[in-house]
Amino acid sequence: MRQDYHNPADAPSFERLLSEEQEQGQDNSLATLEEAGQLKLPATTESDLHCMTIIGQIEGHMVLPPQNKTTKYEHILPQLVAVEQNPKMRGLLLILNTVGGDVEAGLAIAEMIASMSKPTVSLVLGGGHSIGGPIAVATDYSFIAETATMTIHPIRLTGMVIGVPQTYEYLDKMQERVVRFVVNHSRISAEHFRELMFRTGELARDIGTILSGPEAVNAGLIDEVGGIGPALGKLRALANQRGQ
Amino acid sequence: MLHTIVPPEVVWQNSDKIIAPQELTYLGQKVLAEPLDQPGEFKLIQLLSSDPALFLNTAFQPGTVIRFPAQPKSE
Repeated sequence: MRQDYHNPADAPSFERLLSEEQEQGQDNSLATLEEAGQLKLPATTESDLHCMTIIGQIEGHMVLPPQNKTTKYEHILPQLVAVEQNPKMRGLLLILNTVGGDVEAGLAIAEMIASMSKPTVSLVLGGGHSIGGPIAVATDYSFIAETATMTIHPIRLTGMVIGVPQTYEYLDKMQERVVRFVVNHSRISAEHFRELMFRTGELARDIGTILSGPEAVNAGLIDEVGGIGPALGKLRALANQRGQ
Repeated sequence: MLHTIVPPEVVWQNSDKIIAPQELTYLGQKVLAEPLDQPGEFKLIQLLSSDPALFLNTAFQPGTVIRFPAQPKSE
């Protein structure tokens, strides 16, 4: 918290204020640790909806270098378990602005969300690219901001490649997992999705397609163009429908 | 296997700067944390717990800076 200091000499440095602001979240818990030597109880959440943000790179089997902003699946998965089993939680709002990431971590998050019994709504802001696509369509209902985009493109091979037909087959199988998930959880057909994925002439250094908000809805990938208001409204409506 | 619009050379630059995390006990829980430049400061990487409710506690959010020992209050 910012305070007023009567004597300028008493005022902490800007850096300290900044770090205090950043640390606010854990200040109380540290105080509890000093005084009682035990962990404070998890904060009672006032909201009955859990908001989860998927940002930057989805980090999976490999730790990414520090310049990447990442979403860590090993933290997201137990959070989803907690939301699913917490009787006070009535729904999950998923906010995405991601450049993609690890195929298996992305599919793991998507499968968890798709199999939740609580109502789920996603909102794509900025971008929901690559493996962000399956996560965006995993929810019961999906929104995309007018200005947001989704890039649909094939999985690229990196690292050591052995030039044998098996390499292609392996890649094709990885890709099929993504295609099948998206097709099963949205209105888009497998043919149309593959056509978008392998289209040439749209991306500068890759094949594939960039869909803007309305285009993603027209393609059947996302349910509706909208922002936070409609997304929360839909989630409330779904929660009331299920009588939870 | 990465499926991303970011080129691999951009994702993997500074790979040599990845620091192996250490196991610590923070607020009574086992965590993995990476040492920061300041002595006694760590960045929380991963909470090691099987209690899903703890993962909703923002104190265990990855990226949280941990200070050991907790800094004494200035007043």
